[in-house]
Amino acid sequence: MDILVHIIEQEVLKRLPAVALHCRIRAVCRQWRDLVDSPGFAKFYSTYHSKSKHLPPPRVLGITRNGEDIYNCNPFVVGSEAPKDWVHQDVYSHIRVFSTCGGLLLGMMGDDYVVLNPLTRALKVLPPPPLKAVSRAVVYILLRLHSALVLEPSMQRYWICIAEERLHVYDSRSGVWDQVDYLPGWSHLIYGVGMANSKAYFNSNQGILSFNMEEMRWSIEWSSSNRPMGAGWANWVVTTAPQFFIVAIGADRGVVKMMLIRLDCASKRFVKEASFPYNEDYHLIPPACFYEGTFMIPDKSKVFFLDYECIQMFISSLAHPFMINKFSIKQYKTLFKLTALKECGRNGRVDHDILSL
Amino acid sequence: MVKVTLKSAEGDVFEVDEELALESLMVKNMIEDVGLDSAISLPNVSSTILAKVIEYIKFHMDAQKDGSKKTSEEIKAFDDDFVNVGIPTLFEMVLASNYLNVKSLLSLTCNTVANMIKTKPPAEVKEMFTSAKQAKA
Repeated sequence: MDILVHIIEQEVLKRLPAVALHCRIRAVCRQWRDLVDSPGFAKFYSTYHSKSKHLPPPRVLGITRNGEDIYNCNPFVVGSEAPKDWVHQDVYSHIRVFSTCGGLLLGMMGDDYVVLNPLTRALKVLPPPPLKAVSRAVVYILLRLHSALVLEPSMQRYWICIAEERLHVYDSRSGVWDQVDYLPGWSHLIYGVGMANSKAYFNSNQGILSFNMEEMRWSIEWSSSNRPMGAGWANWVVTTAPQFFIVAIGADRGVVKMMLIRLDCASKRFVKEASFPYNEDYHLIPPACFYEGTFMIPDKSKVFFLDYECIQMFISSLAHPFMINKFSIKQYKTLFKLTALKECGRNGRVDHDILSL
Repeated sequence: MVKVTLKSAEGDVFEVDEELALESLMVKNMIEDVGLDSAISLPNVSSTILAKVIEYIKFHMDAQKDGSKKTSEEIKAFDDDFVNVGIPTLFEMVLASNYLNVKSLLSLTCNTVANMIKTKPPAEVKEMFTSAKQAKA
């Protein structure tokens, strides 16, 4: 009877998304952990998922701070023997990546501004934005810190925002750049732009602004008066339609903590979902990535996984590529952005990639 | 129409059309091995579960026949209703469909269980499986 139960467990478990297996199922009991880690199950799992129409487990791209190096990794691959290291992607060595969203990358290839989907290898060259900055170095800094790629939740349209003296907005439907003035008193929008309900959310020192892409209109979502956390907190915005989160790090009564805050767009209120003591080197964490119920938050040396469904934080064994190679870690070489690759096409069809529209 | 006799764990006898019985690959193999003369005994399947499995196969066979007026919504509604049972019953149906080798039912029941545990924290999943195992023992 036990053998039969074992077969049944396999039958059920192979149908679960890889992220859930990785984060939760392994924690249920020892038998399940051994099962998930066994080479036999890994084979069984991949056979099932390659036959069915489900997408394969997500691959995660990590982009270094200077945007020059791209690493590929699959942290959720099933089976303990499967490689989980970061692999350098030489294919993209000529592209400097500045922004990511839902598997799309915004970057520069020589003097061209490009959007590309590494999974489908689609690439689109954009018209150059009418930037005031002319020097290459200034443009790089501007794009790295103050640009955002914003993907519509249906994944059929994207916008690009670059915050200069005015906001430059590119719409994939019209294919042209527009300029928009800021709200009076609001400027210096920093990275961490997310999108929900066709609004792009910008983080700024004064609070959080939203910009309605359809109506080209600003509104103040959370000003400093109803801001979730006090001064001294560094925070980044993560969106996952239709929800909207802040990952923040700072001192709470003398203890350094990492906090996950959910912003409720309708009521303009916020809910503290979880907080964790953060004993690692105090290092600012860049924008996190959200995939299938799991936040991936990189810091100087590791990637943290935060399982949103059951609010569990675990530090993955996934070190940065440079840690494995024992290279000295330079600031510009740390992983800066993560994105999970997705097929951004109509109804998930690759031949209808969003970039070919 | 040729009839096949199936015997549940309790010894209850179910008489079904051969066409229906062949949907279970396990029963199909048995018929090929021993023929149609004797009742096919299924010691791992209780009467209630066997009745449900027969109900499921019957509905889907009717739905696939030419001239069937069942829409895909109706079929989906039937499936949803069919697996809307307690966890112990659902687990027994998983076991039975695996034993009887009915692919579509196995897929339906396993997906239902998978969806149930997909978003549950580990402790709740453990609880769910232990109580189901105890109920069966």
